[in-house]
Amino acid sequence: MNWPVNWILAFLNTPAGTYCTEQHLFHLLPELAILITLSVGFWLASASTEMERQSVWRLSFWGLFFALMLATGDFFLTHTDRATGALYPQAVSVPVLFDMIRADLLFSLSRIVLYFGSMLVVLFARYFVQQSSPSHGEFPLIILGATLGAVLMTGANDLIMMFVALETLGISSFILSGYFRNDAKSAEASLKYLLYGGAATAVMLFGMSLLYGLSGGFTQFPLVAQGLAQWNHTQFLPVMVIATVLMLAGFAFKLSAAPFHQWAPDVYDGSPVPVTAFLSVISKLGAFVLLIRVVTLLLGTLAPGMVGLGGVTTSVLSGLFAVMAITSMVVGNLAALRQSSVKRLMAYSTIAHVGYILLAFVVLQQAAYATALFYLVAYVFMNLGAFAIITLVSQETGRDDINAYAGLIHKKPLMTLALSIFLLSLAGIPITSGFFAKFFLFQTVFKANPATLGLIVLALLNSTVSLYYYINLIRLMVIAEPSAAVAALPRKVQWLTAGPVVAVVMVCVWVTLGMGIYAEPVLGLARVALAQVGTAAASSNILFLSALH
Amino acid sequence: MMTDFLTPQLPHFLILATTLFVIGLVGVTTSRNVIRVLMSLELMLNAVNINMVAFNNYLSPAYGSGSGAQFFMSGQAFAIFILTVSAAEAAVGLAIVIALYRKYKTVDMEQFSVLKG
Repeated sequence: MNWPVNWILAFLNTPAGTYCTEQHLFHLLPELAILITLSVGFWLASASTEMERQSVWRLSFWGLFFALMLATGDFFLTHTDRATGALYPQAVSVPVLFDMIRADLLFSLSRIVLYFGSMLVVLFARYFVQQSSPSHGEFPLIILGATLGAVLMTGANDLIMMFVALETLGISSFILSGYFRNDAKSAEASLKYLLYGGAATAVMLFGMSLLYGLSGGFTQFPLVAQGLAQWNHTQFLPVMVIATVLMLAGFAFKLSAAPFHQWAPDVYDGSPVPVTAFLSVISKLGAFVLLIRVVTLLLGTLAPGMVGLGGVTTSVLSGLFAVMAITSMVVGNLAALRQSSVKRLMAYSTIAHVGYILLAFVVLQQAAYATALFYLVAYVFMNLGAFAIITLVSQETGRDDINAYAGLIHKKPLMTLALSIFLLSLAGIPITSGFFAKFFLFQTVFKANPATLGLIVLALLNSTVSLYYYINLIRLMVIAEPSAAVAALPRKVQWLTAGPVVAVVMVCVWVTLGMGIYAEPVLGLARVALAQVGTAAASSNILFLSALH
Repeated sequence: MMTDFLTPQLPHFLILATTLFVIGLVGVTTSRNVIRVLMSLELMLNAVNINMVAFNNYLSPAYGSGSGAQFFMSGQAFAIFILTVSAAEAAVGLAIVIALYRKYKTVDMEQFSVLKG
């Protein structure tokens, strides 16, 4: 089974065993592949013939596929023992680009999921986008750029890298949501997203600049945490709290967590459906992994002996997360109850899910973050699958409202079944990945701090409420009489346009059910990944000294 | 004493930056003109730049020269990154405003109301 690994090693001319210690930049080979694809792609997109412009889609797909293969290869080379195939017991955390990026297990795993997710988005977006703006091929390239930003976010270990990665994802997302610029809704969504997103970035940057100053001029996460701990100036505590609140406000915007969620329904509603899928999945995963790194490494809530902001701010942090979690859950679920557009419904459902995931941050413990990571991966696939079907319905009927789904089972029985599985998983019904995600998350949060019992009861109540609007959609599809839009659909499947969507849906169903059945191993992997983030923080003392001398 | 007060120190820069930031924030939240909102955004980002450069200069002043001099320039580098990225963001923002202006013949935020929040 080792032949692909050996082949790649031979290709890189790297002696076995030195891979993860000396060849640091090789950890970014997948990102390099994406960059090369981008350069070739923009050259192709500006080409004169239609055929060359169309080839950009295929190029982007294979570029992402190649990056996915490289990322998987890097995971096996760096983190698993080549003889036994098991994970290395000791933490592997490689500083890349002067420690701007930490190539650790968390980075490795999350970028595999990100590349896979983006690949699926490119796959099912093609016919939808080509229907509306046939001659432009830039769409998949901007998706590639946004993915690159999200991947760099998951590995960021430096304020500068964090900012640049956030903006790479952000600016690409603004362009994507306004991609159909002749459509008033799309352009307006893009403008709203840009203004809200820009303000959020500025607020977060102001917090960063305060942390930079208070830490004594450091930008790397662990060094900032140590700098803050070393000063121990109690008169600066208010400033530290302000900096923390500003950074969290910026994050709340990016994650569309209440009370900063107002942009999300409008932007999700106005954007093209594949873009809505991308925003609700890829950018959420990237932002949450970055939030884990920021909370543990930058704000130093983690390791004993380097409690960066002190006990006072830790409780402030925990309280802020609790407020964000409660308001997101309640606002998301209650607002979703009275939506008539599927895209808006999914937007509010995303806000609610962000609320559940934020529960893990209330207790500020690695075990809870691990369940949050599990939740995110499960969420990526169930939401992408649901959006693939929403895209299909949208491209065949031209409608996004709930009533367009009435009686879908008469024309598309298998698609109805798949969408029902995704919706039940989003609601948290057993044997799907969504159930185990919620179960693990709530259980771990409660175990970590029994005082959160009230929060968990509230989350369970909210899950019950969410069941109503998910089941309502299923009821419409299965029981209601076919709507005019559905009745007009041809009975025969158009494989040329529907084929990619079917492939994506099959993959997502498989992962959603598979992660339900094999939940323990996946969660175990997430636990190891998060535990290794902790050890990386503790071992950064050596780097701290080498930075000073 | 008077000269001490007049010599620019770190707090002066921080007060200036905070004032600029608040002006920008107020501009972003209250303006109806999109161009003005974009300008206020730039104001907020420039306030951050002032903070970064002031902190860097305070923490690691460029005293001394030759091999003994120590420089930590991450704040200045950060400011350059912020400048670059905000230019990209402004370019995208203005492109969207032009697309909307072609449709509505106005840059008034209140007129863009297809999406009901």
